[in-house]
Amino acid sequence: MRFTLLAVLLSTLHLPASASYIYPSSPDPVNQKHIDLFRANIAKYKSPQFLAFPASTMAMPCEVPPEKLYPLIGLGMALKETKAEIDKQGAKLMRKMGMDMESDHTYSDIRIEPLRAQCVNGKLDGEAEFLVSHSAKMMTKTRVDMLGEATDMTSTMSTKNVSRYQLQLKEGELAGESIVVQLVDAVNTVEYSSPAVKKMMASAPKLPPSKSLMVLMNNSQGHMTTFNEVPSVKVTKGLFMAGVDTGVALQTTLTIPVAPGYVRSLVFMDKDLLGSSGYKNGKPHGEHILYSDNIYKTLGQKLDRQVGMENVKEVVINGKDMLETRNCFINGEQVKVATCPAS
Amino acid sequence: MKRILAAALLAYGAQAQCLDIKNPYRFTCRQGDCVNGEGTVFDGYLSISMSGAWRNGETIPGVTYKLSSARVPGARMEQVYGADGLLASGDMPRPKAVGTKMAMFRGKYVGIEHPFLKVKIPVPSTAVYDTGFGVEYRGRFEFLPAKSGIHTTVSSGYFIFFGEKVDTVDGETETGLYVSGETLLGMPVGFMKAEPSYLIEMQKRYQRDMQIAQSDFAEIESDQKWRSALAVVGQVAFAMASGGTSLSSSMKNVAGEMVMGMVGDMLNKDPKSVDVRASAQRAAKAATEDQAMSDALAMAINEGISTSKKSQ
Repeated sequence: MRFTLLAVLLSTLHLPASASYIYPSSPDPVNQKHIDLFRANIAKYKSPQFLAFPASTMAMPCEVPPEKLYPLIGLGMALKETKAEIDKQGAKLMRKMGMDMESDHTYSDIRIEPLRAQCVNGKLDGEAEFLVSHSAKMMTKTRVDMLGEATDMTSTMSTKNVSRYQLQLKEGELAGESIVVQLVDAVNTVEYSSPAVKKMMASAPKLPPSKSLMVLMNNSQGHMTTFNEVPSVKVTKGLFMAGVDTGVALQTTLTIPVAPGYVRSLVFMDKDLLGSSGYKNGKPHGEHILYSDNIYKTLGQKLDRQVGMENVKEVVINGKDMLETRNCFINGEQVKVATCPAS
Repeated sequence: MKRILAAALLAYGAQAQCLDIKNPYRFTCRQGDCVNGEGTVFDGYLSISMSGAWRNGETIPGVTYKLSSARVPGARMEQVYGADGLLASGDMPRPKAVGTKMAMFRGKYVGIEHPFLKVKIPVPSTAVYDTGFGVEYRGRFEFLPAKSGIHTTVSSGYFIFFGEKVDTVDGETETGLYVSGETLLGMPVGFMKAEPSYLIEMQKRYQRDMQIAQSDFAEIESDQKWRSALAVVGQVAFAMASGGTSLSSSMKNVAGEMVMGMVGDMLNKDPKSVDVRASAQRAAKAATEDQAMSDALAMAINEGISTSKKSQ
């Protein structure tokens, strides 16, 4: 399931031929090993050969039905029953959050080639490696007010995905360490039902096609580390107006088990902490803290004059002016309390 | 010809609160007579149409107004206004959202002072908040105004609710205390379960904001006075420029003296205590005793003050 969810993670940036990343330090030694492993192998992961289908491939060593195989290789949502259940849960969550959006996610052109795999008693067992490619289309539709009339807006993200899964399996289930390297080519389009809005938006800048690399490493005890190359955006105060500097950064997410059923997720942009969030049995629980650049200070504006800043305060971290936002969750629900529970 | 409406705000807020709102950038009369008769007004901020009877471009107490939205054509909403021009009962839609659903309050409203905007606004008291997604909050509501409105001029604040949260789809009911984050005029309200102790935090923040607001109010008042003063300066300069070469250099010197006298007043005194018109008149009197020049300067002062009032 985690591979299914991660299969739709995207960032948007062209891959440079070589990138000099800045890495965070992990408070947990298992995640630190992941960081060291990524650092040692990034050149290999980015090489074209790593995600290329070989000229000749081996056959699956035994019959593995899609409902057993697909969840192992990030294709759980391609299963009708899994998709129906996730769509139902998703719709319930959107309803409770007051969000009104139709969405659909479809898969096509699925190709799965084992590079290494063996079966014991009719089930995949031991070390296995798969190359997987597929196309996906995620469509969301909503209605907006524009130019004084209602118009339906349909956003579509079309992707071509190639992934390499290095797994350790026991009796057909994940066990031990696994590594996933995924390259995604994405194209985004937006359609409007109103001819007037369509005409107005025709000249608006479009999102360019993107290519992004994601690497995920985890063990079966709850430690997980993901690496995403993302655009970095910094707001600067120009002479006449605010400016924006763009570059490339490495977003690293560490998932660290803290107590039975409870994990903490730390997100870093290069070596700077972006956020810290708790999850109990998969649901947000405890304090969720976010950090961002204090653009208001950069632009000479006061925080208390902005809307919705009741949970935000100005802090200085390693000499940088930052904004810290704190929200509290209890068993998946955001709450307002004087003291947020620790776990 | 389109008429400008004085009232017809559909939700509480800012300059709103009813009656003397003549904002051509926000309201347009789409059909009929929106001044003294039956007509349909379109609120461009909320994207809502409102049909009913109007008197002097204002709502009539006790009359039912029918509301509609192009984004949610199936939503049927009605409002009744009080003698003070504020919404008294009916529906308060929250239309500034996307999608095919309309969130709204349904019930009774009371008028409260928004201390940061310095206007009276209607807020729900005993009502139902319908999210539009089958979740309803049924009970008592309170509203705590937020400070950001001083600078945005759009009303915002925090809703506090005690009563039943009913999920009409799943058939679940919970009773308790819920609060929202800062919510702008017309936006859907997101309620979160709250502990009573959190209300103390909200009250402390409100008191802090009231203290900070005093200096914000002083700054705004000072800004407004400077605008008036600069408008007078501009008008005097325009008058001098329009006079061309026929103006004597002594007249130009007098104008310069007058302007510097007035600016000196603004810089050296507490802006709160400065009366821009009186200051300009004093400076003009000190600059010249010539009647013709005095008259020209007096006209420029009046024009400048009038121009700055229109732009505020």
